[in-house]
Amino acid sequence: MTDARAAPMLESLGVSKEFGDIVAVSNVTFKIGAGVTALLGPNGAGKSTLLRMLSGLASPSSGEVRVLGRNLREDIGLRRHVGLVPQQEELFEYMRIYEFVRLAADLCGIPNAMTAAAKAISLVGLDPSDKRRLSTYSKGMRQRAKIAQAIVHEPSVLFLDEPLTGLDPPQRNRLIDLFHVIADAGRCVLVSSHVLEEVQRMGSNVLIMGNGRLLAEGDYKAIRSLMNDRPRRFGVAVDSPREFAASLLSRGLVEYVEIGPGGALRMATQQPRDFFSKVAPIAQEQGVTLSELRPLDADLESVFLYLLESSR
Amino acid sequence: MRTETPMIRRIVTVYRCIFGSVWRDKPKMWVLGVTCLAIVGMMIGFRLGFDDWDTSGAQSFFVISVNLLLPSCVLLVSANGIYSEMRSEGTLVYLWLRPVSPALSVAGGWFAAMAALFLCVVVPITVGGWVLDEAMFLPALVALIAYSSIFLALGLVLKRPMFLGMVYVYIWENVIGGVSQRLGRMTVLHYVRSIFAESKDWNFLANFQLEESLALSILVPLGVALVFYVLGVWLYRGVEVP
Repeated sequence: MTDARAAPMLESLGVSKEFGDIVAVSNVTFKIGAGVTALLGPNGAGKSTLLRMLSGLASPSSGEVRVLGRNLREDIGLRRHVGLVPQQEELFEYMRIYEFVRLAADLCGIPNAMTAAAKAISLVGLDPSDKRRLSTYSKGMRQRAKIAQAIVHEPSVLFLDEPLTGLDPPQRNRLIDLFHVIADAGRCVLVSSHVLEEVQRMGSNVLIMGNGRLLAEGDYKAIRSLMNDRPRRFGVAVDSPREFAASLLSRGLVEYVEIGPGGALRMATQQPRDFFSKVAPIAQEQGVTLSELRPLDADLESVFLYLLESSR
Repeated sequence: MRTETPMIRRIVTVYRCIFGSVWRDKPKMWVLGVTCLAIVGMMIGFRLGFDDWDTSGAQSFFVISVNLLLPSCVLLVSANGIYSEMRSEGTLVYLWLRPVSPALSVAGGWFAAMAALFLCVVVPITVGGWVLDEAMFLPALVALIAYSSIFLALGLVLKRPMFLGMVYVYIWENVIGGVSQRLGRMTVLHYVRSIFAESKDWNFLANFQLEESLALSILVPLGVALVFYVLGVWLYRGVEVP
């Protein structure tokens, strides 16, 4: 669990980044300590730009970033204590996995680089003796190669920009567990993601970005509770849409229902738990075949649209 | 007892990494290979085709290979192929975010570019010069060192350095530099020609008013290389990594 007040390992103090007239990140302030913290936001929220500034790759237009109390762009020795999984896929394509991770170990000047590289590669589920070039790797394998190079020197602060992209569920599980193990060793792990489900599994501490601003900071359960003051939308497919819609409205379970092409129903409710527990019994009671029930705004992008609206 | 990786090994690691990238970049190596073949072809052609090959052939060989092909290849590799390309690809992060001094990182990249260019361009020029009875190693090497440094720094400033680099090579170095001695002294080519003029009495060299001593002709391009190396280090330190 993050305890930033006790020992902030990463500090963003009024950080902004402008590209001409465009403000990509605006006045972001937070402090985080050891543990996993998720940086959330829809595409274009400014997560990657903020992550680039936090990891020293770009300098803020204003404000200050401190990693372990120091400036990463100016203090070259400090880079020994930082690892980054960048978003872009490009690697040194001609290298083999071992050479790629060994490169990171050698440049970080760590003792016993060979052993460290082999260990990091194994930790992400790849084979250190794999003779194939990185250019032949799948997206998931490339992603794991990037993670291996970021953890080979056991950094105190680890930045991960969308690290689970392209991975299958077992690999995701394995890496999420790995991030927890790293964090439990007293390290600061900042993971950028736009997938709420992933974030929920990574830890409870989150930073929420939208339109370049830090919208919220704290426990994700509080964010979900923010959603409760907004109606939740669902898509429903039944064989008698009009009768079923009328029944739901008459019972006060939904606020409104739209009947779309082919009879597809879209509805909103303020009581999602009640709705979930009662919708199937109602269908059964009316002899209606319920073939689909899916949330329409459970993805993070929708959640953030609400948050953005609220913040205006 | 094991110790931390020595700094010299880190430079060699940077060198090997960038050299590997250049060496395995098929389009660039194809261009360098064609250039190498063109230089060899010219050498054979001039050797066989000119009655007075020791002057006309060698002069043409010098102009085409040292004045035009060499800086063009250096531009392709040093400006476009090292840090500029790594920035646009996104691989620079794997070198930049490491505890390695920018001075050593830039030196590693510089040597990597020069190693590839030395093998593909300077060696064929030297062999060509040797077949044509002209010592072309020194001017080609001096030109390589100076241009590599200039274009490496250019690649750290510009995302697409080829256009400006070509303007520099073809317009500034080859055209404007030939207008007057004063302007000529502000080009690398002036000093490269001066090195040659020390031993040769070629007609076309007389047009350039080459009065520099051999020592100065070597030292000035090396000084230029050093200045641009320092500039490159400064730019590398402050570069925004994608």
